[in-house]
Amino acid sequence: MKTIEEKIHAIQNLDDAALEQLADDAGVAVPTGLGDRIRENLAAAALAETAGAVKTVSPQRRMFRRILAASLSAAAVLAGLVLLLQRPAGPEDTFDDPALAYASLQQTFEYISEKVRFGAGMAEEALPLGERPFEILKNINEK
Amino acid sequence: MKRIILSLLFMLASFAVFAQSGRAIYNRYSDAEGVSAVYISPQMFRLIGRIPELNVGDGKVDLTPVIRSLSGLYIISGPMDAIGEEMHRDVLKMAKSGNYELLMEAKDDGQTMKMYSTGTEQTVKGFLLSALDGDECTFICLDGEMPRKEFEELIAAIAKDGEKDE
Repeated sequence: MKTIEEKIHAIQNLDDAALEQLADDAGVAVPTGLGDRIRENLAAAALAETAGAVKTVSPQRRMFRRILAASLSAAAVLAGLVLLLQRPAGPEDTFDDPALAYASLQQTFEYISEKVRFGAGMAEEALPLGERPFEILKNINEK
Repeated sequence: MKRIILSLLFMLASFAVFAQSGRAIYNRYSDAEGVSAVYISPQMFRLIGRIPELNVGDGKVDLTPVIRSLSGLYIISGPMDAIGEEMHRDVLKMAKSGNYELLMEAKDDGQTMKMYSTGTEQTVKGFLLSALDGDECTFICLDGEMPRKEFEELIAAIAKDGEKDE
């Protein structure tokens, strides 16, 4: 009587032709659920191979990364606050008297208008020059 | 990590925008040698608006309708060789970064002038003027929420007033 180990050893040493013959032999009862168990084992082996290919991050490293991200965020917010608080204070009003401020404002608008007149004046001078090409074309057409 | 980098970039960008405002240009050049500077704050504009009878002066256009909509006036005027080119470059950067629209540009006989405004079709939120006149340079920045129609009418009225004086 062969022991189980001897039987397993004998099965392992079977060649492909002998295995096919055994598979075709209807007299050999196939244990129920064997196909499903084989498929499960193959799937588990494939998963294990994939998991081995992907690097997993250890919990400690993951915690370290979270702490680092939180620290950098806090530092960025603090830096922003410091920059905001250190903004130079607004300038001081040049005038204490509102009437003087108003006079200055009036002068400012007069200066702006002077510049507008300067630009508009140049545009007005250039207008006749812009009409010249049309006059030339008109003369050519009339001839 | 991406979020941190993005937040840092946004903070730097906002800091850069602050650096190109009328106030920043005023702060940079107002203490320079030979420069005259004028600043009128929103509080001062409110005080001006409360004066019951403002002495407008003979023939001068009344600005009080526009005053209530102004929140800041910055004027820098100084020698061209000291601050002119650098300030003019800063003004151009400000116009570009603040989405200012070029209203008018003129150059003639040693005078250069550029005018910009920003806002909507109904409102002027900012007005810039940069003028180089021989050896003098001038920067004017107006901030506020001025109704565009009123602002344009005011400039036109003062321009017309000026023509009569000439």
